Amino acid sequence: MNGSRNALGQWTLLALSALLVAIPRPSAAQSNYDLPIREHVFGNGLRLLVLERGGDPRVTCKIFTDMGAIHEVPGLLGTAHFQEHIMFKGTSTLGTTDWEAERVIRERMWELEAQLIEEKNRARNAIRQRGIIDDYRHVESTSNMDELLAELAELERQAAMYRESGSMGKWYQAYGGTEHTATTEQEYMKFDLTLPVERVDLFLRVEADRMSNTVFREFEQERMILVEQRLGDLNIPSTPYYEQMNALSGVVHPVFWPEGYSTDFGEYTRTSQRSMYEEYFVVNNTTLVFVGGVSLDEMIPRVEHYFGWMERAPEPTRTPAVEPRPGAERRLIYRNDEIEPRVEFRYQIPAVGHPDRPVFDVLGEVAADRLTGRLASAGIAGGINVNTVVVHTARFGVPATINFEVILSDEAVLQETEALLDETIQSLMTPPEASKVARAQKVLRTEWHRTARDASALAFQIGHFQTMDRWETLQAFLDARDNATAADIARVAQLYFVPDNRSVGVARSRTPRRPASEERP
Amino acid sequence: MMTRPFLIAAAALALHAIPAVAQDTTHPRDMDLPASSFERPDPGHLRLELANGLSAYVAEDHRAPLMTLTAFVAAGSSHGAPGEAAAVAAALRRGPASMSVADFRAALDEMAAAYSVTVGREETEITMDVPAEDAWQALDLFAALLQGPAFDASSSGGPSRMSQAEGIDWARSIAGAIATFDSRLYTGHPFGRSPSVDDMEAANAGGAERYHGAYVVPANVVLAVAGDFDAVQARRRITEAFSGWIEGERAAALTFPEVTMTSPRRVLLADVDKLQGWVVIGHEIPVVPRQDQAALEVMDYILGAYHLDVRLFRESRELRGLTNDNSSFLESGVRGPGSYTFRTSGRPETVRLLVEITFRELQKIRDTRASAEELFIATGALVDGTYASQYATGLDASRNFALEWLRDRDHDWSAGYVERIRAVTLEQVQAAAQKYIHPDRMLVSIVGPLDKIEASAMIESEPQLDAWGEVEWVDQDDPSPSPSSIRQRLAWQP
Repeated sequence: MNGSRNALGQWTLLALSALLVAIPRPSAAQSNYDLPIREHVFGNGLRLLVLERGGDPRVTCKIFTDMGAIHEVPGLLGTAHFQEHIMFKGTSTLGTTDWEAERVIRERMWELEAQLIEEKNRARNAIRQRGIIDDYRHVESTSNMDELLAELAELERQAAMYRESGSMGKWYQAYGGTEHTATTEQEYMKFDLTLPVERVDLFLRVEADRMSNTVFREFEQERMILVEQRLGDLNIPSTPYYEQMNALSGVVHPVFWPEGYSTDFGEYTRTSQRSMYEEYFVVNNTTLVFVGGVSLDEMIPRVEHYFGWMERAPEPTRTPAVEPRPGAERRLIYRNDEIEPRVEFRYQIPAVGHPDRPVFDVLGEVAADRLTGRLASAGIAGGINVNTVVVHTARFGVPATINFEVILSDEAVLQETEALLDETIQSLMTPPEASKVARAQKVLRTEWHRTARDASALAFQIGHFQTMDRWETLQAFLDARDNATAADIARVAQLYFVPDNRSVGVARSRTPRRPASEERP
Repeated sequence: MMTRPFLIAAAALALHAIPAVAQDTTHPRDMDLPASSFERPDPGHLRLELANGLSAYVAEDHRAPLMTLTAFVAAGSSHGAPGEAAAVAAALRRGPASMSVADFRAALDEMAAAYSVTVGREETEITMDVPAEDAWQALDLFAALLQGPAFDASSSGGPSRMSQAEGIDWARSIAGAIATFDSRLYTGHPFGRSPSVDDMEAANAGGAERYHGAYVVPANVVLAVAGDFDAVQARRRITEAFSGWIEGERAAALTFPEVTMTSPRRVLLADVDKLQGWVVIGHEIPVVPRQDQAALEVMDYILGAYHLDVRLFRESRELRGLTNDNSSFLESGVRGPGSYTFRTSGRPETVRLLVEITFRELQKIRDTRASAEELFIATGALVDGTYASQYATGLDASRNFALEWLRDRDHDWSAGYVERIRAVTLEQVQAAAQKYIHPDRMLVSIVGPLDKIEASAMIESEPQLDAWGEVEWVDQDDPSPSPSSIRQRLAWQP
């Protein structure tokens, strides 16, 4: 116990010191990676990152906003994702046949919604305390609210008469755009497109508009599409298990929260979404990333033309949440008949930007290899059918976890597997063979090169690192993985893999199953 | 490989000399966006033909220090006896006969190789992706593998268990609806056969080697090789690695019988306790003649081929919020039938309306002309988007040229694609819909919580599911039709 506390204390000190110590970056000659990323930061704070691939007839374009699910509040989980959906609905210049006529209706809708919110606040006690159930169809209201909702629906119907479908997407499609999508995760939102290089202006024109003039159309339809996506996730039997594990792994930080509970979806309002939009979708909270046949010098004046008029805004709010040091081992017993039995160990690890973080990628590869071998040696792999060994290191700019998961087909060996998993993790505290480390590094290097080959995947990594930490960290992160030693692996294992920093998950059936061995003829 | 356009720099100087002081909201249609300067590379520059009849497309691709080797074989699970293709695939997964399985896996592991064997109905793909530093070792291994895989009479045919890593309950989702649809569509057809244990034993007892000897021969295989190498050196290495492969006869291309579904429609229902229902609606599609392909592709794009802003998506998702997706899947065969399906999913209360809207849109595109704007979007998307992307990198170009040669033995299709798509008219779009969409004889496959779907209140005018045809209940654990439960609906007879 004392040892655990000491180790964690050391970890905390290391985490603090990381704020002051930059990751050592090898010279270009030592690096295995060719990432000639060029940066320009405009006077209004907009960041432009370009990785030129001369001769590429297409360019992948991404616009990242430093805003994600960690900026949500309980009761309104999913609003960051919802904001992304709303931002597909067009602007005052795209998606309307007569903005002036539509604008009058939409202004009336804002007024009505303000009344609705006031009415709901007034009736809060009455409508919150009656039979709250975990169902997206659950709606409680007052007669005044019903009237206001009906009026809002009627106004949306009237506004739809001016709707020009397709808004932005159809123009992207018409001019050769591919891979047009968007993603919202815990720390970022991004919109993506790949275009012929000659038409890169189209992306700039549309995205500047999306950032400034989004019109919150078809609000109710999108609310239900979000429900659809959530139901799709929940139809995967393992989703609730993983969400329970997330909830166990972190106590405070919103990075561990799910994408929305059923009753959250009904709480989204235009007003709360507009607040998020106005605070975070500002030029100084935005990074443009281009990978392909364009150069930085070409892009600077073009970006200036479309985004230069925007003024720097107040710095958006950052979540003040700091995940406290784990004080005890936590354990989840998840009983469910639909998912395969499994054992999982999770340990909190520091964020991207901390010098220990790259080592965990290498450690993960070494551990997966070792765990697979040990399970096979124990006869579990051959006789009882180990389906999957997953070692997953979530990558965030805030504290994350490394997860060691063994999925089984026979829950009779859960205890044995847990002991073996523990032994394997303990074994990492002794430096592994250099050849194993080298192999792990080659796997990671090759996986990276497969990522970098794809312009869209590469652009994502560049932008993602910028939202997690800084884009410069990417190259340093990759180099640090290559330079990690067996001693580094043992050191971080000793430091972080202590019982008090562990969350254990065990999934088993509600009704005990007969062991597979007994079922064999 | 591509000529870099200088238009962009000139336009930047001309347009942006003065920074904007106000937002530029020029509408996209008025932006005078330049024409794409993309030109399809010349396949002749990539092509390599060996004396034994093996063709290869070799392209430098310096985006990353990797090399990708792909062999496309003009034979799949519908060739040979049932189970033989699967047994050959298992042999290919075991490695070359000259190595033990353990040594082969160790070699792949040492190279951090990504290796896969995928058997389709009419074609098979074998791909090995390795670091460039291991390129020639991998090439030799790949050559040995193709020429002599490790057949094993005691094998059960390779891994058959579906990976559970994703934890996705495939049988009770859209995949279940597709499997049910396919099992009915291809009943009694070579595309629908499922090898028995006896078939697999026969395949492992010699059938696989016969299949390999007949189909996996130089003249029936086309390679795509792309990576961070010097093309001259790569061509020499490929020649050395594969010249010893004994020349084989190119197997006569099999033409598979058509499937013709007849009216009336049929509704296949599988009851599962899930939060949503999944829907697959569709029918067979014959081998599409070249002269019809462009109009069919444009029509399909307008209807539902692209995820965003097409009719099915717009009507069911954007305007109504019923589903996350409603898309079409035009899956033509090469020398046999394919399918044309429309797939969606939704919470129980939306499923019936989703079926109704899908049929409504199918009827509409048959009955009315598309708009000029829809045609403009579809042709631009297909030519400057999808098509241009297929040749944008060395890896993409080598693969697409290899597949084209495998199927056509020429490159006329890709050479004339842009011209054909640009020439499509609104009349041809409607004609394609009328020729290739037949709402009256579709299979409607639905997997979901049927009691909730049926009990939901009507939203518009959607009927109950049995209004769409004769209902057949499907056991989701075994979606294949049993002789007693399904009426023979396929005109084709073996």
